[in-house]
Amino acid sequence: MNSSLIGVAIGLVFIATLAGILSVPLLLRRQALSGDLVAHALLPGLVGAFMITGIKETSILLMGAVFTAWIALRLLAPLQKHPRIKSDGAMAVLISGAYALGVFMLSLLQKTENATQAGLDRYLLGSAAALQWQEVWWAVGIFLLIVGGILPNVSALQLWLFDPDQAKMRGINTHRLERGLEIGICLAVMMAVQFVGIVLAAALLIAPALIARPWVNSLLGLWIGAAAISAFAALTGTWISFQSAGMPTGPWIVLSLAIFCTISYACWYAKRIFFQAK
Amino acid sequence: MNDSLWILTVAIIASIACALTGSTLIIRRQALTADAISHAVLPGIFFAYSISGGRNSFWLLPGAAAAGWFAAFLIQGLQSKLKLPSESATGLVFTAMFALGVVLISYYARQVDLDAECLLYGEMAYIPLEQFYLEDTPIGPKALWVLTPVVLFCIITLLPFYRYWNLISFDSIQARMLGYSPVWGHQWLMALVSWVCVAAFQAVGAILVVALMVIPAQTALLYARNLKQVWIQATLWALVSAIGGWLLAELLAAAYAASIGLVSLVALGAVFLFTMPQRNT
Repeated sequence: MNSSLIGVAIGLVFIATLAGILSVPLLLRRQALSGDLVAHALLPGLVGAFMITGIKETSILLMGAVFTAWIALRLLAPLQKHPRIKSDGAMAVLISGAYALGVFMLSLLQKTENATQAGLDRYLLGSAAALQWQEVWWAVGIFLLIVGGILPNVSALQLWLFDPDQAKMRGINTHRLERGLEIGICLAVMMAVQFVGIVLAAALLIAPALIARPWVNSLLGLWIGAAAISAFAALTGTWISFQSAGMPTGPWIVLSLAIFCTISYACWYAKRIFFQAK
Repeated sequence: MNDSLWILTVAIIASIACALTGSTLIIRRQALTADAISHAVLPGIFFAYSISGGRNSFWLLPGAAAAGWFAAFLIQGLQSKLKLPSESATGLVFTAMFALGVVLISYYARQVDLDAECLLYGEMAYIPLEQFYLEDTPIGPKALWVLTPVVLFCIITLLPFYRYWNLISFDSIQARMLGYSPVWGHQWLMALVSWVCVAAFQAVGAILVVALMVIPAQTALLYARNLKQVWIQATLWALVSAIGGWLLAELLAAAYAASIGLVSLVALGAVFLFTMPQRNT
């Protein structure tokens, strides 16, 4: 046990738990791929922030990234107002379009300054091994911020997630909840991307709620189950990847989640068949 | 023929193959499958590399295409057998397969000369460097020779069977009653999409393959009246993007594939604003 392993484990547990909590509303609202969209739309913001300011300071780059990611997320609804655009088309167009824009800007940047290339490439696949204590505290802070935002609104969220019309009738400010959820997702994905990368960040926002879903029947149960399973997957993935040198942590966390998901649904399926046979 | 003209040729051929398969996907509401397949080919590419050893192997295409097809099969199974929402099933399968690919590649990093970033980015500027040789005479870039059969296959198996694709995409019950199986069409389309993804990934990169599949097809779908129109208009928009993007990249010395994606996105935005129905106030 060395201090870097502990730091990586703490940081990843907080990030994964946060993503697990947010995966529940995404599953219930059938927007599971929003995480993927946000992750891809971070790229133009990262590059753009660097182009404008010229400073390779992580916090400034991430602010730009969250800004473009939020815009991309907000574009989903207006795009679907067109009668010929369905939800899958809008999602696919925004994911690939945002990424194309990001790579285009990156190629313009690389033409002028070669030195920065390495810094931005880091976000593509992420690097948990390069995690520093400062980033761990950031992860803890954002976790507390979002959980603190959710706790006072649990009952309103519950009504909104299961029956949005009823929530509106009761005078709950659903716009506020929606904006809050969007910002929460942007912040969580921003943290996740640094450690697991653009492609795999989406998995942290999809799998946990799916794993818990067959076994619990309440929102609170779903939240606790998803948070616990993501924390466990983060620990498992970190532990496996530290067994041999050069093993990436992010992909192992995602693989652990996929294995847990297989086990969960295999058990559920077996149980269903067993009880039907009786 | 000079280098940048070779790049333009490859871009045009790739964009036609992408537009035809992409528009068939999008009318069947499977646009996200393109995204999933393009990522899920990674473990297939790894296995093909490690079995045969070498980038230029024959096994690369069928190996990766099989992985892509398997991903589509898995997504379909999760949706129908376990009743998972389609987005969740898609996201789960492709991230898991991509993670598997990254883990395998980093575990065998010493044996396999391959990295995941090259798969994601792609670089069209390298296309003319890899020439295909016939008895020591260069006969055009390798990417061209890989992509040409793909585009021919797309044209041969999609366009003449217009009635079949139309029927199974819009009314699968009617199709079944008339004795056409939608299942075979679906599986064939998945195989075709996997093949296009693999053939194009070295040249344009995985995520930009998705851009070329989805964006021109969605642009055409905004105003086209039937499947034949969608095919034709999507191909036209793909050509416009390929040529426009190539010019943009030449002017600004930017990445070719990303410029093509960007031009297609701008075209989509313009057509969107033009065709958006006015609100009755």
